[in-house]
Amino acid sequence: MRWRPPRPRAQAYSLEGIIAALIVAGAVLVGLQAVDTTPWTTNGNDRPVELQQAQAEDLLAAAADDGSLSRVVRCVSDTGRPYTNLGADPPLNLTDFGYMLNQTFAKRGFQYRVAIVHSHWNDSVSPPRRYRNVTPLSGERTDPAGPAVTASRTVTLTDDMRVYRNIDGCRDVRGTLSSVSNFYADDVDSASPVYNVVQVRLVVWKEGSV
Amino acid sequence: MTDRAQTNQDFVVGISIFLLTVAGVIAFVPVVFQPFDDPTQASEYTQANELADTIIEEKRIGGTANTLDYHELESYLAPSSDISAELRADAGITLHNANVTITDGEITSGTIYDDPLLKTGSDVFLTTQSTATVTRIVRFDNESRCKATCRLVVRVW
Repeated sequence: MRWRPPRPRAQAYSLEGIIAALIVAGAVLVGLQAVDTTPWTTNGNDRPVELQQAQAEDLLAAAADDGSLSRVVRCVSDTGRPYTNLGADPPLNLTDFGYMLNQTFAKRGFQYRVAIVHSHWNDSVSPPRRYRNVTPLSGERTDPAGPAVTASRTVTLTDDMRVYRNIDGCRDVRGTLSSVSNFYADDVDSASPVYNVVQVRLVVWKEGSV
Repeated sequence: MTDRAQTNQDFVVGISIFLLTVAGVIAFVPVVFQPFDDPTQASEYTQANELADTIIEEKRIGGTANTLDYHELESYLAPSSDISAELRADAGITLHNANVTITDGEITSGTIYDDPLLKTGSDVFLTTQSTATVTRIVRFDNESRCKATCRLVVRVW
């Protein structure tokens, strides 16, 4: 082997040390950016799932207690469709129930949807079948993304309950359930005083500040 | 020997820079996550939940779901720096660091503590700020007390 003069290799160790240190520090920075700290920054109100579930149920219970839930179910337009303005951003002529929803959820940044589930008997087939129709009470077409909680409460409608017109807070009486012709829910049994049993379903999405 | 000078010093500088960086990373990364530690424990949340459930169960008007009796609630939640022994016995909680507040549901911004309808318990949480909080929706039979609904806020720490 012929002896060759060595090429200069000045401070190569230092250079290697610096480059290695930079790689390690860069890896830490990139790794930390991939960490999402949102679940850790709740302000003392942890476990939002259970809180939302309890609040949604409480709200329906409070509305049932003061009668506004029953009133909302019986508040329809002239074509018999129920009040459609209980979406996430309700306008001013709210029913009492809509005001409660606005105050509890919309003003705190939670989105919600309300729907009425009612039964419909089809006597023309044998055996008679019962269908469940879901009538949404919000004008929004698409639901927000993300996890949500659901609460529901049943409301019994009797033949002699009043039907309201859905303008300006549902105070104007159109008639009774037995006298109005185009109500969205059917009279399941004209012989009994019960008109129908409907279920109000409230779905609340979980983004927002409690 | 080659033309290189001070190879040993070169090695020392390089290796110490590298080792210091690695040691720094190992020491630093756990510290980054410390502010995100949740200081409240599961037991505190359970007690807050129990307390809220007890208040609603005990003081609600018979036949209703969430309508509370204001006058009975006034004695149950008498203003003091510690929640009443009766409430603590009913709820089965042992902590003294609790606060129960009932406010108008209309208030949405941060300082809901300024104008409560009813309030009992210690105020210490205003400075410590890490509490297990449970919020329930209630109403009173006299509808003029709250705009539409009232909020029952229970904090335990």
